[in-house]
Amino acid sequence: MDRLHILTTPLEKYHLAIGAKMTEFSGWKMPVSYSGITSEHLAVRESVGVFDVSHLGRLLVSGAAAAATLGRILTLDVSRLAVNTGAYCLILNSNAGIEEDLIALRQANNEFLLLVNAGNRAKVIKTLESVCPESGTSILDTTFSTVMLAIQGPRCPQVLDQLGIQIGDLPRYGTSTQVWRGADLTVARSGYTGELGYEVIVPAKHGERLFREIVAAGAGIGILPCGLGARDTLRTEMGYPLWGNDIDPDTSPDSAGLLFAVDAADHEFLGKASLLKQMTRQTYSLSGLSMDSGIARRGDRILLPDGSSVPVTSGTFSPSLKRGIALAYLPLAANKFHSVQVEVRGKLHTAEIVGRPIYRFGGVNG
Amino acid sequence: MGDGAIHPDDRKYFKEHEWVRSDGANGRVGLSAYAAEALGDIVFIELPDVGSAVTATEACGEIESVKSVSTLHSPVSGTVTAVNQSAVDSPELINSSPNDEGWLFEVEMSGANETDGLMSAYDYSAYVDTL
Repeated sequence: MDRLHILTTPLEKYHLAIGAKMTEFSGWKMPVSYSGITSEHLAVRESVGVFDVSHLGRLLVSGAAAAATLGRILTLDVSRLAVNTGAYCLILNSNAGIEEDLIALRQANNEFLLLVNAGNRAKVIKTLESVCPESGTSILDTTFSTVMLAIQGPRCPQVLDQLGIQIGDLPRYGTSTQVWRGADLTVARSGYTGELGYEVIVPAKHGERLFREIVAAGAGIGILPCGLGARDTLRTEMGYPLWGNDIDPDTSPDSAGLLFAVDAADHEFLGKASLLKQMTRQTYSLSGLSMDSGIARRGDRILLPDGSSVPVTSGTFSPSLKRGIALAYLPLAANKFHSVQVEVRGKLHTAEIVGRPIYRFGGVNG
Repeated sequence: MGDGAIHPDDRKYFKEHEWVRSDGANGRVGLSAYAAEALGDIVFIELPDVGSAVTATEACGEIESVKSVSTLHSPVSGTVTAVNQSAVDSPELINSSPNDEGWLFEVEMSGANETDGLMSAYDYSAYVDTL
């Protein structure tokens, strides 16, 4: 991705005006923080925060054969989804490596909305194009014509209620559409924080107004605009993998702990044969670590008792736990130990193996 | 640069974003307001031990923010005579008061000319505008 073609959110000017620091992520210039990662993180854990996540890809797949066609690519048997429900799922390669993790929402019988990683949007479109046209299924990329906001935290229903945005009793990954003050909204109960949360998609021209209204409605309960920095510390505390860090084409759903996202019964999909074969040979699992001291970062080495080492795949300071936390693929055998040593810039620190989530006190786990 | 990053002119600045306020014999060292703003929430610092020698421009500690770790450099050579335990215990002091309460350590300087090669507040502010 060259710098001349860096992508920007329609809300960029607004973000800068309210004090955002920007960062480059997956080819997009997006807010990394406004008031500070710690305060934004804690606002989401304790009250509510709002994120611009317009960098996420939004792909509308429709047609009479949409369910059957998507089913061949996704690990999810989307024909099982009721209208207005959705699920987290994967796209695998022929070796059962993880090419993408995404959310599929069934908006109508013959219409699915895929929420994909910013950096994988083009790749997912290419994969879809390899099977969709022949079945008469169309793909519409609405990423640039819409804005997507995430409203996350235990008190987010209060903010949405106050604005008159209907959330009803949506289940996790439930979705609905509505007209809000002249704007078409898609609402889904989803997020990447571990707290109760909703994501709202709105035509781009209404995006700034929606963000402003959300901030104003939450002012009395301490809402904060939040950036990708807090989004990353929140997801790391929950042990949610980030594509490109913790999962990639060389990691598989079994070792990543993502078999819950795979429908293998009566469902044929890309990579299934390899996955079934290698599941019997799983030797590593993505584990959560809590540091007694120091802060391990991605790439730091975890020293194992047999003299070998594995890399930290995600590492940060946890604003909730006030200590370093990390994710790493540990050999299954290492789980009989309670702790490992992590080398951080030449010094050894002890890290407890705590599983996932690392932070266990979230509201409703999404 | 970040708005509100103020660089007092009673001290001098090193290009790696440390300041030193000196009386000619002793110097107090801290992190510049520009750097504190750029790093974001500072959560952990490692300072040189009292009694240890530090060398101008060389690494002498670490500053960790939520997202990243940075090397702390000493802007002057000398012997460390004090560290700011308040900043060690509450690193957020460095964000809230980089120029005063969030100072880092004090040095008995090797000589009175230790600060000669450092930037004035004016030059430093102009320098960070180019970053």
